[in-house]
Parts: sequence; structure tokens; C-alpha cells
Amino acid sequence: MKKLFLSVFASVTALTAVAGGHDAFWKSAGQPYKGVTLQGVTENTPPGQFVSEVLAKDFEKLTGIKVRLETTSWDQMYDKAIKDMEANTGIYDFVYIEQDIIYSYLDRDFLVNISEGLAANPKLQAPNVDFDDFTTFINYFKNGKGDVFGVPMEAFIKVYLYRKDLFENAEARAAFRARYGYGLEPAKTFGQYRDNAEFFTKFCADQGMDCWGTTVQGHTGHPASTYELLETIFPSFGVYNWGINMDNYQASVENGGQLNGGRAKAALRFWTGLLDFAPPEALQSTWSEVGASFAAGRAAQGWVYGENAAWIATDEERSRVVGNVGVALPPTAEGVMMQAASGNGYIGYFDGGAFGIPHSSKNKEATMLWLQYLGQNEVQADWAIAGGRITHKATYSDPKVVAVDAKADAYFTLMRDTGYLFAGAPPYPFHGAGRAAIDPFIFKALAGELTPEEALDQAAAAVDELMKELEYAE
Amino acid sequence: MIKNLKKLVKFIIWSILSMITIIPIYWMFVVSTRSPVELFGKPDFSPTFFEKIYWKNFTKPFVDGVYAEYLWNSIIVASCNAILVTILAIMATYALSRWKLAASENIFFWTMTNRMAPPAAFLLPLFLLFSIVFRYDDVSLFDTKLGLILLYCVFNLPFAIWLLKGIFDGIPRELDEAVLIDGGNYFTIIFRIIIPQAAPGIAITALLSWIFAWNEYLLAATLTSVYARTIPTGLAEFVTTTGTNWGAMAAVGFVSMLPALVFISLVQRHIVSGLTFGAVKG
Repeated sequence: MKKLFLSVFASVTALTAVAGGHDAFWKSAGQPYKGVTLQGVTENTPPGQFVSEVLAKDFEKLTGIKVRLETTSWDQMYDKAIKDMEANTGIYDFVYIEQDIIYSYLDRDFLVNISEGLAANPKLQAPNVDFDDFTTFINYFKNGKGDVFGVPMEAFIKVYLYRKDLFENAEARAAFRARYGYGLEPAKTFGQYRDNAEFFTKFCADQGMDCWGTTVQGHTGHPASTYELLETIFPSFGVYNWGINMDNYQASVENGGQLNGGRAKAALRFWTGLLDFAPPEALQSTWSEVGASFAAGRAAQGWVYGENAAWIATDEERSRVVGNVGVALPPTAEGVMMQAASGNGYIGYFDGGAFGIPHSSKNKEATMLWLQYLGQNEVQADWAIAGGRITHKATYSDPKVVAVDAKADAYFTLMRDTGYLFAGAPPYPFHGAGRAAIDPFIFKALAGELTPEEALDQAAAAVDELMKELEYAE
Repeated sequence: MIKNLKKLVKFIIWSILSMITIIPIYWMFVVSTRSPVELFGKPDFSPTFFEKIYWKNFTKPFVDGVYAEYLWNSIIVASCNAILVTILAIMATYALSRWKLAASENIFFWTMTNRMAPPAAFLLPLFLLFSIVFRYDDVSLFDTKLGLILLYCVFNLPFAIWLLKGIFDGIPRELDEAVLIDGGNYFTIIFRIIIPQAAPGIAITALLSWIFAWNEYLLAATLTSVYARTIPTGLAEFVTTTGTNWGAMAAVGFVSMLPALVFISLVQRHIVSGLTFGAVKG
């Protein structure tokens, strides 16, 4: 008993000392910058709100360094951050960097090398922050030498969501088997996915339910639809890196690319074909409306960004399908799963972002402290629950996160175990321009103005031309 | 019979026009009263009664969030801008209306040219002016209410001068001369003759300047960050990659209409007379 008491006492004392030690570090490291106000910009998402409402206040209490975080819309966030960095105005001390834009930022030398900054000033190095604690997602924010340019603040995989209640409905199961000759299950193949979509569209109509077979992120005037095709549908069909040949940056088959290859055309044909089984808002749906449609119970299945998965499955105020959400890996074409497992491909999109320090920041050292504060293991669990995001390996096993995971059909577990099968956007400095070149053809295919074949032939030609203009290709 | 038929047609036309105007506002209010889960699915136009209103749409942005601050910023910016524009416009228009300045027609036209380019064309130069050029140490016009107040003068002042010019021209010059003969000066003319005579027109000028400043989005979105954000820029924050918070957006939109409604109701009796004042000058 005495031994037990002593051991508990020793543990508590040690923990308190560590915690106190960390507090002491933040206090003393922050002392020279007391009174400084750091200004940042991010998107108004739950992870961003948690930073603004909780972490910024805690950091200020500890260090005396104020943090004002502007939370705004996605397009405004980019517009303002890029203007600031281009004009070198120094308005922002830290900016949100989405995984797919970092290559453009690095190409333009917008960002501070955080690893180098900390190495040059060991006084700023927090004792409890180690970049190795992060999941592999941090690799997207490193340069070729492994130096970190952004501290991850959110990360998600794009998963397959389905309605458990519909898939387990006895009447539906019997009707499905009678019609298709095999059992009703969450889709593992595209044929199955299409059958499910067709079936539930009719089943819901017959039952007088306001639901359809699938969601489609098919906005005919917003890049979200191009992203769904390039980053979600294409890789699951085995078309990687947008179908652009990474050796010569050409997209058309005749020049060594795959953007208008057979698999790509099959993917686009499959995807646009789903519109027949999607709710009417599909052609106006971006990433957020797809989540909203599913949460409203208007679709039996769909590809949904993981940042939405947790709230759709758990938040009764925003979702009609709490308790009925199934989470699974998306369907893939034959051989794709094996390619992904061996590291030669990927099955879907690994999304997320980090905070980086613009070169124009006037408070780089204080900002390095702040970003490390966000990088502590200690702050991750509550942040994960509030924002449905995980960036640290240890967060997965935190009891609070485990409890939420159980309610969200093990979304976090799926992310932990299969995250390596997913990938972020390819490292294209021409990301924005490349996507914009493809956009109009995808929009026309969705609107039915071009056949999938015509759309991809024209898109590939446009990308080839753009790559020549940008001097990536000859 | 025909008279009654005419009345009926008139009634129907006005009813349709009123519905077209009122339905979006009504719909916005209905949306603001619904919980997120109620908002998707089939549109439901029925009103929500007091006990069923989803108050979080209002309390979260205004009580827990920063929207009360945004609202206050909008009130300060729009009101100060309207006052400043009206004062400057009265002075400038009086000069343009009464004195034969060299190339006064050209001055008037030149003033109006500020309204000819779309505001987006000025965005980048203004951003650089606000954040780099007009800067002393760490102090700049970027993200300040003063910056927005001055900036909106650039766009509202030409409009105000254009609106007041016809009105001031319609006031007989003989009144000015009478004041001068009686020993008054130009300030006496402006305060005793011009302002009382043109009061409806001045009221509508102030009102429209206020509304333009109140509703302006593009410039405010670019030239503010956290300290001077206004309500319209705050509305954009509800559109995110994890979903659009329609209920809160409608609630904030609805509340942001209220000051404008109060302001308009205070000066509405001047609106028609203000807009038509001087229009019949032959």
C-alpha cells in the first residue's frame, strides 16, 4: 500500500514538474515578446475556431503574446494571404497553408523555414514539441532536405460514407437481391456503387423518402467538382497525379500522360453517370453541400471529405443521420488497392493544412513559439474532438478521442490504419493554373455539353498547351 | 364596373410586386429561426413561432462570437462616412452650383469619373496604399475604421455631389443675394437657406451614402482583417469547406438589416421629395 502510494505520489509529482516545467518554458521564452500581437488568417472551420477561441487565449495567458486570428471564407483567406506575401506588407505573422498550395508558396519563396529558424535560435525550441510526433501528413510541409515550413493544424482523408439504416433495411436487402442477384453491401467496386445508387434512388422514391442513391460533388462552375474528379475518382480508378506525366509534365496520351486515357475516360463516364441517381442539388454542390446533403439524409452513399465525417456522424443539431453513418474505404478499380499498399499509387485524397510563417512577418520569433505551442501533444485531443482532425500519432489513443471514434463508426481508426493509402495533391507549383485549365471541360461534361471523352481530350490538350506556356514542357 | 376592375388589377399587380420584395426577407427570417438539421430537405415556408425559434443562430454570432463588434464597426463606419460625405458634398456642390469656376463643368465631370470604374479595379492599389504607402512605423490605414470611412468618401462623394447638384441648382440664387445684402456671408446662406431648402435632398443623400457604406463588401473584405471588419464581410465567414451555416448567416443578415430599416423609417418621408426635388426646374 505504502509502495502504491509512493508510486502514485511520485508520478503525480513528476507530471506536475513536467507540466510546470513546460509552463515555465513558455513564460520565459515568451518574455521578450510580451505585448506583441501576432496576426493570422485561416478559414472559418471548426479547427480554426478552436485555435481562435481556445488555444490563442491559453497562449496569451501563458506568454503575454496576443494572437488575433482572422477566420474568413476559403477564397478570402487565400486572396488575403497571397496579397500580403506578394506585396511584402507584413500584415500576417502566420497563414493557413492548404496541402495543395504549399508547392506554389515554396516555389515563390513565401515561407520561413521553421526548422532552420529553431536551429538558429535554440532558446525558442520548446522542450515538449517534436516534429516526429506528427503523423506522416507533416511530410507535405517539408522541403527536399526535410525542413519543416508549416505546422499541421488539420488533416483528413476523403472517405466513403453510407447509410447503415438503409443498407441494413430488410426490405431493401430483399428487393436488391431480387433485382441484381447479389447481396446489398457498401460498395467495394464501381459496379456495386452504381447498382447501389440506382437501387436506392428508386427505393427511396417508392417509399416516399426524400433521398437519392449517391451524392456527387458536381458543381458546374466551381473547382470543387474538378477536385472531386482529379483527387477522388481518378485515383480510385488508378489515374494518379491528375493524369499528368511527372517526367515531362504532359497530360495527353500521345505525349505520355493519362488525362485522356482509357481509365480516365471510364472514370469520368462513371462519375457523370451518377448524376442520374443524385439529389437535384448535385450540380450546385461543392465540398460543403455534399456533406450537407448527406447529413440531411438525402443520399444513401457518397464520397465525403473526412472533416465532415465526424460531425455528420455525431452532431444531432446539424445531422439527421446520427447513429446511422457507416464509414469505409472508397471503392477502387481492380489492382488499385495493391498499388496503393505498395506505395505505387493511392486510393483517394489526404487533405488538410498547416500554419506557416510568411517571410514578410514582422514577428517571426514570437510566431515560431506560437506555432510550437499548437504543435504540442497536450493540446491535440480537445482540438481533434472540436474539429474532427488529427495531426499527431498519439492523439488516436487519447481516451476522449477514442470515445468520439466509437460514435463516428471508427472514422479516426480508419484514418490511422489506412491513411497511408491516401495522398495529398501532387507537388505541382502550377497547381492553381493547371486545375483552372481543366475546369471548363469538367463543367461542360457535368452539364452534358461535352461527352466525357470529348471533355478529357480537350482538357488534356489544354494542359499540354499550358505546360508549354509555363515552360514546364517543351 | 370598369373602375372596380381597374382597382382589382392594380391591387393584384401591387400585391405581386410587394410579394416579390417581401418574400426574400421573409425567407431569410424563416431560415434564421431554424436549426441546421431543419434547414435541409424540402423547403418549408411556414413561420416559426416564438417558442420554436432556434435562438443559437442569433446568440452564437452576437453573444458568443464577434458579430456584435462587426455590427458596431458597421454602424460607426457607415454613420461617420454618411456625415462626412454629406458635409463635404454640401460645400462642394454649393461651390459648383453657384460660382463660375474655371472649367467647373470639367470639375464636375472629373468628380464623377470616380464612379465609372468598378471598385474591384481599385482593390490592389488601395491595398498597397493602405498597408504600405500610408504607413508610419506600425500604424497604417489597413484594418482601421478611419481607413474605411475615408475610403468610402471616394466613392460616395461624387454620387452625393451629383445628387445635390440638381437640387441646389433648383434653389433661386436671389435668396443668396438677399442674404448677402442683409449682411450675411456664405455660411449664413448655406445654413439658413440652402440646408433648410434642400433638407429632403440632403436627407436622401445622407441615407443613400449610409446604405452604400453599410452594404459595401468588396473593399471592406480586402482592407480589413480583425479590428475593423464589418457585417457584410462577416457574413462571408459562414461559407466554409465544412459547410455553410445558413441559419446563423440568415440571422446575422436579418439583424444587419434592422439598423438600415430604422434609419430609412426615420427619413422615409423625405425620400420621394428628396429624389424629385428640383426635377421640374425648367
